[in-house]
Amino acid sequence: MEWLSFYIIVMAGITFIVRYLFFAKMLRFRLNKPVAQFLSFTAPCILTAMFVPIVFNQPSGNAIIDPYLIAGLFGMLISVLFKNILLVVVLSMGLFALLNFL
Amino acid sequence: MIAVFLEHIVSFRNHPIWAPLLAALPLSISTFPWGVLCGTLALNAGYSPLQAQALSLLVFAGAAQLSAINIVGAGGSALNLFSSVAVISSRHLLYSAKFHAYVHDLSLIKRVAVAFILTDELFVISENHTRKTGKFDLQFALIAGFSFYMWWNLATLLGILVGERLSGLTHIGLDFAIGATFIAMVMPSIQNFAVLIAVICSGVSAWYFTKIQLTNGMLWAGMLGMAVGFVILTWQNRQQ
Repeated sequence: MEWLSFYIIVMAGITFIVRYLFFAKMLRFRLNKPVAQFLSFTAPCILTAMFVPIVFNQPSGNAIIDPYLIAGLFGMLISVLFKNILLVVVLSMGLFALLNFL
Repeated sequence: MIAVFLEHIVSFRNHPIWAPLLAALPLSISTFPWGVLCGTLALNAGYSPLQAQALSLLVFAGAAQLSAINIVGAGGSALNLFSSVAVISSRHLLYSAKFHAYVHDLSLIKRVAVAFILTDELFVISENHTRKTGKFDLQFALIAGFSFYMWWNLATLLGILVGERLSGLTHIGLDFAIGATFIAMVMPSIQNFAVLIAVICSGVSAWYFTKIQLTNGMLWAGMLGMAVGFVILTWQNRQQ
């Protein structure tokens, strides 16, 4: 599928341009304050919109306990308490594995 | 002689290369399953092994890659593919704007290098270091960024190698690893009322949009939360 290789190059261009845009010497524009304030919500909001469906929108099936939901809520709790990325990932993954194993 | 040897080890350990390598390690480990998933799912969606690796080598953006894999797998249009990648990646404009102050005087090649590695993860790692030391460290950012790049690509390679023999890796729960990494990155950033409400709005609408299977629901949910957060912040500023 050669068209797909072409698409990958275009996507690489897009992800590079959004990261490089403000580094370009030609574009000497500055973010005005409202735009900067709006953008300051980007990371938390987009990341939240990406993790919520993984944790909260799993098809329930026959399972009584949903490992995604329980381990996800647990991850949120320890993240608020400890703010340590690796700890949150390892512990919530551990609980997730345990719940799946049960 | 032993003393000399020990001294060698100590100076080796104090070498400036270790701090950024260690700083990048937690997120490299956390996103490793996600990288594996990107390799495996790409194959399932119809990418060749080389194309699957090229995604991680060139596009180098986990969320955008997964979205691109899903859209190609579902037979979506090119317009759908590019617009989705652009909107998901648009958050990097903020990182670019933030880093502008650090890199605007550097040579072209250095600016290109920093832009290339400017992921969510590197942004978090570098900003933590900058906050700690009081100033941006280019060498630190580059070493941390490229070591993260290396881990990400090794993970993808593993996913490609394993994926050819094993399908249905999602059942092992690698998709949960993505959620866990985002949770770990989002929670510490909720430091005021406006961000809290913005995140809750994005979360609730993401849940609802997924439930009703709205196209690009994730993006709408993200932007809805951002708009609400911005309104609250503007209102708060006006009160003062």
